[in-house]
Amino acid sequence: MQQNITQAIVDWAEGNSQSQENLYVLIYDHLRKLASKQRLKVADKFGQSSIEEHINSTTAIVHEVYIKLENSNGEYFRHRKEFFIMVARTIHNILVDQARKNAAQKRQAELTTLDDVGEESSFEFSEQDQKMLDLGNALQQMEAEYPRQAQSMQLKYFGGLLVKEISDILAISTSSAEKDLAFAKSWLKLRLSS
Amino acid sequence: MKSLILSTKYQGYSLTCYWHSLTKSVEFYAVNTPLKLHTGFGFISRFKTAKISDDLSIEVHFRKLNRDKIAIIMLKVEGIILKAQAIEVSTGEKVSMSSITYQQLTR
Repeated sequence: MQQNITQAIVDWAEGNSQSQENLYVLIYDHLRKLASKQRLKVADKFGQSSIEEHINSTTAIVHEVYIKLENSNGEYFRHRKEFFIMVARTIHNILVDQARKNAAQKRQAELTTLDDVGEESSFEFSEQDQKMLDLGNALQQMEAEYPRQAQSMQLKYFGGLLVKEISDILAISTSSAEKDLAFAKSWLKLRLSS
Repeated sequence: MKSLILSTKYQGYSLTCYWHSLTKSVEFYAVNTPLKLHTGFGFISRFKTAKISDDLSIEVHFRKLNRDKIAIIMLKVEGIILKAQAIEVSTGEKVSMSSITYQQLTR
């Protein structure tokens, strides 16, 4: 599959007509699995209601990813590595953005309609929202400080790739990829708990 | 024989595609009237657009893979894939999208 995708990306970059659709067809199944997995993860963490409104199905997420890829015109990924990172990050962003938006809307609605809203419930929303913001910020910071480790993390957790595939894509050894992942995990844990 | 190829929901509409293995045509349902897409007995790639509402049109694509008895049926919104399913043209049996290779798409 990986060789197929590489070839499709090369053809797309060369401007072959229909190569974009070919790429979409090739990654279709992979994207659906990835989107479904990420949807469950976000629903698990932030509650089903956080993603129920707009991005309510795997189909909708995959469609959104395609729109984002369409808008990028293939500029950003000259090879497979950039492509996978971009796809993985996009799916995660779509879901977290949606969850964030919904949490903000709910909070806003409560503030405007219920004067006597309990302190506890409003705190729950802001805490959730804060957690997401913290994760997003921590990932951004890690990308600036430890780009390779951040990429390994994105490929593993948002891209659903195996350690072997990550090491192939980033052109590093399997043990380096494992070390990168372990480092990224503890770095994030430390950052988020402090 | 008519078999269900794909179904999904989009903006509150239930979208469904059936494959007629006898006439090798696609039948698409969204609102009341079905849209029929003839494929020249499964040999010709083509598409039709169904207007669902004032601001929503769905394209129903039939793409035959060269030299294979496999075709991909796709629903697109503004040219972007919404849902896709590969089928065996003669029987209408579903084929996994992940089994499709780049060579099949390009040769």
